[in-house]
Amino acid sequence: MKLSDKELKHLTSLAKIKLANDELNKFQKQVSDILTFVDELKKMDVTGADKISQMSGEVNNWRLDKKYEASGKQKKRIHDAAPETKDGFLKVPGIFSDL
Amino acid sequence: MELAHLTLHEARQGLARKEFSSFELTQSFLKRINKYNSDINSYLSVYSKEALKQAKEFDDADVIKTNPLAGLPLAIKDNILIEGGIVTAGSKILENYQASFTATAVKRLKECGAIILGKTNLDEFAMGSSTENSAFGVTKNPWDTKKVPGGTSGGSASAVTADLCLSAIGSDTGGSIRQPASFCGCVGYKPTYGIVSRYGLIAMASSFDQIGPLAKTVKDAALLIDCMAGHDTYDSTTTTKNLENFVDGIAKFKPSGMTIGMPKEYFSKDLDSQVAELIQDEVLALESQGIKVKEVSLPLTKYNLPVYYIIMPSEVSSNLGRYDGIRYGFSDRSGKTLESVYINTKSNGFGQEVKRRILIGTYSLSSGYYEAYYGRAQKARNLIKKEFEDVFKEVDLLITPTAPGPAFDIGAKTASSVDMYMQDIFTVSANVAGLPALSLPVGLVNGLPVGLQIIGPRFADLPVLGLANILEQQIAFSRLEYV
Repeated sequence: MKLSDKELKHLTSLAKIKLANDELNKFQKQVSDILTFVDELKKMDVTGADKISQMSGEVNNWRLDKKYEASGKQKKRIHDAAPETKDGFLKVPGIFSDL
Repeated sequence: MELAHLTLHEARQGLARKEFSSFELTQSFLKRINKYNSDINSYLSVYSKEALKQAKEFDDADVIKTNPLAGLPLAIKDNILIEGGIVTAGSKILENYQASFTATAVKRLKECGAIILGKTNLDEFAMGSSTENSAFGVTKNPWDTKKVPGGTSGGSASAVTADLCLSAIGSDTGGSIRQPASFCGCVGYKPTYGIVSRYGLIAMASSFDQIGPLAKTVKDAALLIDCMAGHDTYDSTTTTKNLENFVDGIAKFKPSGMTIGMPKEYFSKDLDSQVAELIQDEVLALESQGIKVKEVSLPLTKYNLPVYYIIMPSEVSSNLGRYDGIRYGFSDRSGKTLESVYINTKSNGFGQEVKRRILIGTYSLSSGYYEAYYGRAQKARNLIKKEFEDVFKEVDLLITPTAPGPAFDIGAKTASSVDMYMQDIFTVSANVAGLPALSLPVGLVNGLPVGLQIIGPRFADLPVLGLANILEQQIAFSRLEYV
């Protein structure tokens, strides 16, 4: 099945990925080919089947309702991994403001 | 025999008998890595100083170390976190990311005394079948450096095969341990989903991912699983079952009374006839030992790949949402808005195959398509799982090929994603149904190794390892001596 230009644009907008102009055609074909491949599943009879959402078979493996604090060393690693920091905080772009 | 060519068990014995020190053993690997890694590109990072320090600590200890992996050097795939170490997932988006915690599987290996030599190369975010999708260069197959090592655990498989470590750890979502093991001529094992904790494994597709060993022998693989397996409070999908000791279990394992199934759909025109012949010869030999063999049918086999390539990208599109340049990793803040940070970071940070799979997943989960794609695939997955459960009422284990043929040339399958996906045709089913599966070298085709795969029902890890151990002795495959 061939993905239309509009559909590809919709997908990239949802996924928050921008494709370069010279990549658009290539991706459109490649993604279309993959969708054609998976469309084989339309031929399978799934009448009466339940959906399966997890594979472990485990149910509600809870942990204790207790506070776990990261160590000072871990907190420092998390801080140091951030793209921008200020005064010990992670600095992030404002949601409604321009940068 | 060079120290580096020893198996995990032989090295363990050698250390116990003081035939050599852990320092000498570790040094022999570091020397080989120094000499060969620029040719093969198995390792992305090497922990020389730290590894030698740990080796020396082992040697200097007064107490005899009885830890099962004490003083023994291993390699870890670079999508598994080790605190303080860089973990790239084979991607530019994590090129400089330092892990803030250690994966449970690695924590347990270290508690067993293992020494970590370094991190091995992989396809970006474990997406691929050849290690060609790594942002840090392709890994070469030690049997023929014009060929791929398989993927996504190509770094780990090539490191084991070229004696750049005693054993390695990888991850398997659609065949990523087993297929490179097949291409590189080593043992690759994906345990039952839920046996090994995924905490600290960079998530790709959470209902398929499993950590597992790549090793020179089945017994080595069993030892590594013994060290890593079991419930983890940090991963609620791990099993709460008590697990037996696999090394002890395979020593006592008797296959008499077993019935092996050969699913006819796995011996189709998609399979190289020379691989089929090698497998059939071994199965005949098993029969002469009194093991019953019968042909079985799994009619839903042709739907495994479509189910996988709908559900897996859906989970990927969700899991990779975190790489948005906000808390860690590559961040492109050159734009004026928050949204531009997300878009620029992902667009410039992710490679092509990652983007393709995110787009497929986005499509499958999007409004108007959700039920027709993801919803349908969830039902299909359930039916596939049940089909396996039914076949395991007729037979105890299945024997199939691991891959459609031996390793292909670097660059041969990069033009078409679907061509590459077809490499997983025989491995993906075990991930779709959450089953244990192991690949074992069965022989050479055109001078390149190929694997035989054993698949079992859920939690039949011991019989899978047990039969593999017996087959390994029967096959007597000659390991590569890489120079």
